[in-house]
Amino acid sequence: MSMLSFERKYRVRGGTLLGGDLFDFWAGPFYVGFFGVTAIFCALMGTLLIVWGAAMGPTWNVWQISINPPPLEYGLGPAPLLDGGLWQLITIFALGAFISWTLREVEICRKLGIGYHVPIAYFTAVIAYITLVVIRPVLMGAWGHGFPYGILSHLDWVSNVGYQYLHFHLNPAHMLAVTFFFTTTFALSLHGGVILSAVNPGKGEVAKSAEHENAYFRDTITYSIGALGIHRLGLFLALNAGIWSAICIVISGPFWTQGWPVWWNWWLNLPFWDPRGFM
Amino acid sequence: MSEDPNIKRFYAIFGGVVATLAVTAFFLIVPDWDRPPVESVQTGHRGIGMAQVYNPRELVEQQALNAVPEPLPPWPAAEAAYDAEGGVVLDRLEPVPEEQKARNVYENVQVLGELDADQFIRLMSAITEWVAPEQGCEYCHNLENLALDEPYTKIVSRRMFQMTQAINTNWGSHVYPSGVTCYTCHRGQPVPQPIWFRDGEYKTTGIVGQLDVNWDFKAQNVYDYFSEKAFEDYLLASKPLNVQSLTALPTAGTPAPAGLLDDTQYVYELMMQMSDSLGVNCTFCHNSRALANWGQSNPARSTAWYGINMAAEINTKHIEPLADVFPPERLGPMGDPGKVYCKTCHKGAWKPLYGANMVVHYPSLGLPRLPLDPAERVGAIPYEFAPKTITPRALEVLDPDMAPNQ
Amino acid sequence: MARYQSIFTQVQVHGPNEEGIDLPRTSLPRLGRPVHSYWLGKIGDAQIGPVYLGAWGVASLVCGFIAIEIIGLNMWATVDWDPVEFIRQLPFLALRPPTAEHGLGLAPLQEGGWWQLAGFFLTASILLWWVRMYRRARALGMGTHVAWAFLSAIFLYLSLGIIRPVFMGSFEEAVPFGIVPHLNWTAVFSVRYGNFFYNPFHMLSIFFLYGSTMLFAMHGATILAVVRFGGEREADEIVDRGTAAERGALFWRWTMGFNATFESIHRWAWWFAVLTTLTGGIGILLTGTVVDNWYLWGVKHGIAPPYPDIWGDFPVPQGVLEAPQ
Repeated sequence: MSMLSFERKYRVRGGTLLGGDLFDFWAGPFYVGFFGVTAIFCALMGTLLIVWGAAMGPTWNVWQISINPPPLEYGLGPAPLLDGGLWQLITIFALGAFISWTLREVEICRKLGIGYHVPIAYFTAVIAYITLVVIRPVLMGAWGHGFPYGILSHLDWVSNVGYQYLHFHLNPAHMLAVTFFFTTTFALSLHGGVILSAVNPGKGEVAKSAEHENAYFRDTITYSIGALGIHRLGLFLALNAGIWSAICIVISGPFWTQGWPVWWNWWLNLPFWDPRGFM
Repeated sequence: MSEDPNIKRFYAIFGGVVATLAVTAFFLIVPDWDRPPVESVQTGHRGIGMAQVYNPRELVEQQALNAVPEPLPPWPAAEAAYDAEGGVVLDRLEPVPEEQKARNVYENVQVLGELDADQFIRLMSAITEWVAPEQGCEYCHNLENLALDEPYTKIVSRRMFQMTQAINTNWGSHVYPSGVTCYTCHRGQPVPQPIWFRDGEYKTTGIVGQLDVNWDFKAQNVYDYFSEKAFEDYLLASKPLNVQSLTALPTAGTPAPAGLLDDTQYVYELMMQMSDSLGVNCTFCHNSRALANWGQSNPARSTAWYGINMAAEINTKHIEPLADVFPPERLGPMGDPGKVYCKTCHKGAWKPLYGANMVVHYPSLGLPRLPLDPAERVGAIPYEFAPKTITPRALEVLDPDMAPNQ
Repeated sequence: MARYQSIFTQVQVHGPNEEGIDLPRTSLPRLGRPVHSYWLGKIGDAQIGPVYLGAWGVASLVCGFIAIEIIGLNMWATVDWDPVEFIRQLPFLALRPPTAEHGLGLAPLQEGGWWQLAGFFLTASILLWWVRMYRRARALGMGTHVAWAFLSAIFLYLSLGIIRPVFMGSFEEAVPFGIVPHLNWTAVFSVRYGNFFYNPFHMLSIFFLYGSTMLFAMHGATILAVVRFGGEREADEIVDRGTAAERGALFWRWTMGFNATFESIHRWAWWFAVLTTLTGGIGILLTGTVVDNWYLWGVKHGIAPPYPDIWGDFPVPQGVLEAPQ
């Protein structure tokens, strides 16, 4: 069986949220559980619907296949299958799959007696997805504001939605999100690099540990956040990247309809720049 | 005073919470946020993000600003109409007897002289309301002798008549069917707003600083930072707008012209100014994945393209030649008269006055026509190109004519 | 209830300062007396300092200082040395590279020369800092993985600022200094070269950027979840696997059928982060040199999706340039 040498003693009963012992088993390396069943069902349905949609569409070219949301005229109502209804169904199954996956992670955490950090982090990403395809379309009054499911078509959507606000880089939440993405990647390279450099010091050197990691960053940048702190920082940065991405898109449209550059006019007109502004 | 560490901790946490709330409240209150519900109009294939997004409360405010003045009582002989194909029918005009013509009744009538004298006065009255409602006739006339070519505003307004007629007659590709009148730009103001001037010279103090930067010290709006060079290049010098390569790969032997990246910045600035002028976003005209590609653009882009050319002609042919006529206080830092761009007429509406047709009541200003000859009919956007999938509500606010199912 | 709370540190232990590992004789002494911050200690190590400065560090800081001074003074001059306006307009102020007419030559100071000087000193500062990152690792008897990852970021920086401009024959193509100006540059650059979303290396770079963020979320969350078993002592778990590493591995194995180890997850991390800037730099270097219009490149290779035309035919102005369909 596909079990690691130490795995058997961890494969114990219990920890499930739903279904009791009924689905409490493994399939190969995978843990199943009730939410594994719902996840695979939703994922399969969503995938098959995409394939069916592709069959109804003009191309089998994987880069070009696209399942688009309905026209805006349907508002928040259901659309005919081939005029966006398929997108609505796929979105429902995607949500089902993502939420099932989250709950399945919770069950695995309970089984292993570890914290719920991973499902919480994963659900943050799910919230970003929900923001894109549910919250923002609802706020704008039409499912048609969701993004299309296609490799290149979703990029076209990103491009057009960016240009809906003339210059999306000046969206303040987008600035923060991008900064968090870059900072996370920067911190990841430092963390990955220092762990590898501690345990792979080169021929003839003794493998190092946390003391050396700390010394390296204190020597070079004055401060080492430490072995525990870096994981808090990394998770914080990564989650903020997702959260601010969600914020940056949900404010574009529902809470800001003009170009993003002029959002900054408030900064240029703060009263304290010119003392006369107070009078 | 030695304090209990728990109290210090309490103050730190309390202060942190208060500061966080204060910053959050600041960013919720100070910027000029919109709020749902918003209105959106699809301008491309479903689901690829081609849509106009409006705050309906702002649209209502803006509609009030674009109210059309009541036309003066009609001149009986001068009724004009459009025929079914968009041409102009003027054949109900009775010929004006020679002795009734304005040029024979009044002195020094160089334009509009063919009009009936009463019709001429009607037009003059309308123009006073449109351009100088507070100042009255004396804004452009010496009341002692109306025929004198003074003050300077009379010479300017004569040129503006010619310009209006030229726009209506020659630029159907941009202004059909509503046409333009003086009111389209002036809106009751002697000097239409906004207008633009050439940038002044930049002076640095000492060796630090950059010569090519003309900084707007008083900028209150991010658009103030946009260089006037975009207007100079494209609304005066008619530089070609296309900055993208037309081939995927660099063409051997023909390197891209130098400075194209800088040009792109100016084109981008011009396009943002256009969007702001029309109250629309880039996807009104473009599918942004291929900005230069006409095959994926909306018909509005064609109208806009003629608009850019029209603005350039207005600026070069009608306004720049007036540089010697204007008094110095009306000129910019480089001694040039104020020039037009899209916002001068559009004023935030995708069609000036939301497409209300005023000129049909004053046909002597020229009646726009849709060029019917296919060779000539370039760029005019007939209404049958209204998108098939569109939210009707917002369009009804904007222009009932364009709403589908009519 | 378990005391191993992983969101913040509840009990802070104060011991003597950690002065750091002994340095080889060739190194200078470390500088500064460490200070401790209670609030910093809530999330990470409370100790700040000491720091190793050294010749490379000093040289790098001096060059960086000069670069920032050049940029800042030029910006300040732009608002006529008005301190209030400097702050008010700072987000929009720029120090621009030379215009196209100067090509790759040295431009007069006020026509891009200051940009060239600032770029020179910033580059010198960054390269000297790289030497420092490398030498400090060697001085501690560690591998040099951090320095090589840093080099990948430097590659992207150099691609934007010097390598590509040299390929293109003009510094006009380089990025201006300034907060809003550099954002404007990215937008304009994408328009000029026909939509960067269709640049496959841009796609890859974003893939690795998002992937890095996802990896750090997965890794950070996993470690925090097994902190109650001592999972944050990663180097120790790598050489001597304990139950923290086993549970962390099994979590992913049971979730997605595959797991990394405590060591290999850091290799995934390092590669994802390194490839972000490496692919990004390649995408920059290909733009304008090898590919002039990324959207048309996408059309050429059959990746652009077809969309139905909802407008019908309309007359295209005569005389406008049009790419072949």
